[in-house]
Amino acid sequence: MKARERKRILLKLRHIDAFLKKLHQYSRHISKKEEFLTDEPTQIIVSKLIEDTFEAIRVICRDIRPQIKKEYSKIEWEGLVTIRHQIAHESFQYEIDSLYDTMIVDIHNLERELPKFKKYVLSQKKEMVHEKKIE
Amino acid sequence: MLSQKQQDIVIEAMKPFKPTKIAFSPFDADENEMEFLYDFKKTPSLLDLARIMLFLEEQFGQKINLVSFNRIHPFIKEDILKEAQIFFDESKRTETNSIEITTH
Repeated sequence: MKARERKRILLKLRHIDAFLKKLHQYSRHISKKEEFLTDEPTQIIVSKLIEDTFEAIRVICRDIRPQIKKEYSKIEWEGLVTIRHQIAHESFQYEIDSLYDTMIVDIHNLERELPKFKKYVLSQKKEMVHEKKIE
Repeated sequence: MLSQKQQDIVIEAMKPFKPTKIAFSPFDADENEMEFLYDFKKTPSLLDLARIMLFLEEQFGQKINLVSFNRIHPFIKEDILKEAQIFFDESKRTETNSIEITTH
């Protein structure tokens, strides 16, 4: 991984952290699905933050090798990017229930897996220093 | 128009979400795109829908669009439903509980 790519990925991971923090902040008052289904402002905010989060994933995807994507395949890179495209182009005419389930299930799974990937990206600095020494 | 094999692939891909109705929608689609209308008993997350789309894109080699029956824009709903080819309808299941598929 090149230094510039590593830096860009870490920046995007920080963006994702910020988006997800906001997502939790703005949906904190929702305790069950029925509340979410009648709360349009929260639906709009959640949809936007999910789109932003998956846009950051899309940028990260450009910078990592297929082998790394495979190694961290619990992050469903392609699926998340597909959601981003669909929300952005408004062609995803899904039920609001699906958005709620993404907020609860898909985002939770992503939050569980991202720290492992972040740890890998951070470890790449040591690798880069090591490579320099060998040169 | 979908072949029987294509219909089976779509039904199989959507099966985990207990579909009540699935249709092929030729409305507004170009030759590189296929649109399916769905109605499920079990709510899929957006990632579940994305998985179905990616799977069908791989199977059919075309861009796939999924639209919930309940979310069709009212402005075009009548036209879309008029042209939609329903190939799975739970209400038309036989007594043996097997799936009756309508071929168009």
